[in-house]
Amino acid sequence: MKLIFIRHGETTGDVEERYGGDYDDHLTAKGQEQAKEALEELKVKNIKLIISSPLIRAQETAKILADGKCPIITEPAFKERNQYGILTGRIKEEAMMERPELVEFLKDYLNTIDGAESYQAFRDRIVSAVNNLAHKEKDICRAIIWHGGPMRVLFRDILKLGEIGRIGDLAWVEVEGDNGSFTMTDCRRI
Amino acid sequence: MLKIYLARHGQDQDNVKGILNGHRDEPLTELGENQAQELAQRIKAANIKFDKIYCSPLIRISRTAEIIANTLSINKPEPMPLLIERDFGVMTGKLVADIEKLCAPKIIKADIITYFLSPEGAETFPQLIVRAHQILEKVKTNHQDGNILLVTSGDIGKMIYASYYNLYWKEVLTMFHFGNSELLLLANNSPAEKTHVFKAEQFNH
Repeated sequence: MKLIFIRHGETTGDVEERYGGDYDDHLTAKGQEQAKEALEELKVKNIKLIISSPLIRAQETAKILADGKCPIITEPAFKERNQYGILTGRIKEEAMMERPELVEFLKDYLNTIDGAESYQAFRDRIVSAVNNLAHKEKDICRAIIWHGGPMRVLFRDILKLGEIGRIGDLAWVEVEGDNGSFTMTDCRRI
Repeated sequence: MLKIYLARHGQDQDNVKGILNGHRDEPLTELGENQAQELAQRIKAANIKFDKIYCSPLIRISRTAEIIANTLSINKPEPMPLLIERDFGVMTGKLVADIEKLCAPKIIKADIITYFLSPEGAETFPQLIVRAHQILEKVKTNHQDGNILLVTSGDIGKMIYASYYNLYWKEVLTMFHFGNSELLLLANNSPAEKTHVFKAEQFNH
């Protein structure tokens, strides 16, 4: 079993300094370039199937990495955590002025803000979806296009490697395993 | 500006016998003690001053760090468990000369060293990248600026360099050799290609 988990490229939300999460924005031109670079370096992995979060930034990254050849399927369970609730999509500076107590509250990922998804529910859906993939044992290499939040769950709760902090654009992690065990065998931009 | 220096320990009893050390805890050889002294003198002569020294808990590293701290008259080094060398798993205690025989094809050959990638129980280099990332986070959280010295071992040392400059671990393995008692610099104004502050002659088998 070989899986490569990939975070999408730079987005308009990043550049506008917005709270992200469960909303849609687009890859910037730089984000598209980052995906094209990653496409070159990932060719050696011979990815045969791409499984993408439904959010547009992941879908756009998936399309570039598929390069017109690789099939893409969408998996809703790989969506980013709705971490920011009522602050989702808001410009950070504005949110800081209007609701400083919420911004402070958000600093701990275990806190659940108004309208947000709890960490426990988020973690459970990611762990469950990754385990499903792992058990659907396949001989081909599959890539998952997703987000920073799920990547942190991968490190913290699945690989048990602790805290990894902010995940960079087009950071990727290759995981191999038998019988439900996972070992990280390659990574880039981590 | 925060400048992070990486020093590798002097030659230890395993290095001189061509034994893979990993988490084994052998002391420095006499040569290793001299190498650590020489490194400390070079640092002193170059007028590099450290605000803090962190070291791995293994004796070959903590002794090297102690020698540097004493020579520069600075505070005792602080042990940082995260800085420990890569766990070599089943390769711990085996001969360097047998790496290819025991681990091929999962090896990468550099000029001086052949790296094994994933023998049973060993940390993989990607796992070291994660640990390196966490080491750098810890240092950056504790220190906004100044000169920090990390005294460490070859494999984790190279991955700290890779993580700092956001380079691919596979490419870093063959990029340069990080030998006993050498010193590297990681800083915003110091390019990745010019990381060696001091190189040293190597005597291992």
